[in-house]
Amino acid sequence: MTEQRKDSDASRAEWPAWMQRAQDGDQAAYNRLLKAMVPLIRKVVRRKIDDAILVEDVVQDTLLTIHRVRATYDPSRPILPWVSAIASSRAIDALRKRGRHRSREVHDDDALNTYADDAVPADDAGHAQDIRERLSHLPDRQREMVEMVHLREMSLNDAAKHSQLSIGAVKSLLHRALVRLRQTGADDHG
Amino acid sequence: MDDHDALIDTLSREAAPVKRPPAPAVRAAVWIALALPCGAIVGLWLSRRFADWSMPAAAWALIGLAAAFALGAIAMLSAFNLTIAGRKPVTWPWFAAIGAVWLASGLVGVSQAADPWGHVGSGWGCYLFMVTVSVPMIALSIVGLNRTRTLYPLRCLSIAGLGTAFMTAALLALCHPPTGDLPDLVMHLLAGATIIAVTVVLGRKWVAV
Repeated sequence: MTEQRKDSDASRAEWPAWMQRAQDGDQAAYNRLLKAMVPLIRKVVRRKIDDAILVEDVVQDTLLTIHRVRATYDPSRPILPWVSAIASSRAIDALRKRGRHRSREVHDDDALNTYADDAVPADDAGHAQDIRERLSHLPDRQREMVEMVHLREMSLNDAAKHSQLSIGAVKSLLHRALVRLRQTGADDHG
Repeated sequence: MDDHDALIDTLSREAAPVKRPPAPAVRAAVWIALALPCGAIVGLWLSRRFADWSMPAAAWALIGLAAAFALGAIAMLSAFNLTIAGRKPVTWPWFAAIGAVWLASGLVGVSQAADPWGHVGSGWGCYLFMVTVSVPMIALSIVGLNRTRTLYPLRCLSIAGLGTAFMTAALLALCHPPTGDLPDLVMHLLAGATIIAVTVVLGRKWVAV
């Protein structure tokens, strides 16, 4: 355990140099750096969020943010405050979004039965409501990706352009969304 | 964990070289060097009168002008600092102290006016001057902040709006009588609040990470 910690500390001392090389386009250094950062990011996020699934979503969001703002790191300064501030900010944003979402969410089955849309067959209306309900449990970014790619049938390329993300990041968000949807589905039926 | 590894592999494959932005102090200095002349040009288009520095309250008006410039510069430095994760805005006690000097200079100008209470609407011209002069300055601040974007868009834009408001107040002081009635001073403050609100509303989409 102590040796592991020593390794981790030694690796952290290398982070500013790795980031500097990443800023210069060294992809291997960047890969090593991001992978080394994940445990720290997770630790920072866990201090604010106790939902394990949301923690992993925020870790992913933090990695995407680091990628977007990697140019702003100044290698002459310590890197830990930079990473921690990004992770912490993304965690707070996720909590705010979850709070807003919960305050908007209304469960009223009576109203749904009373005011069902006559133009839509009952089964379709129920199905659409079920999809909306399930999507509402996803974090905003993941929900947007599912809506764009699976409901509006946009191509991955268009979704990536529209959301200013790479195609790989879109795929990753979709993958996490589907895993989460499967998990909530299993919870509902289990 | 494998999920993150897959994302990291994708991100690192796409990682092209990036250019580090200049230090926040340099960015603030560049903003001042560009925004002040732009604001001054618009100001000259609106008013060709200049302050009469021989009037009794002129010394206080000059102090107010210097304080407004200093507050604008400090606020812009803070806004650019906030675009870098982990950095803090400048210390607020200093800002509050200089702000108190600026407000005191305005109140001295009111106390030495011929009719300190004035009449409602007397500062309308100043309001229009400040808001119009701020337009190119707001645009420049949003462009400047967009270069790096920020994790805290609301706070960052509010502070940038505050900096812009004080810079327009400094430009206004160059063509404003050293004395002015209370409604005039209130309109200066209202113009500042309008500039902050416009900066936040217009910039939110462009500066959030």
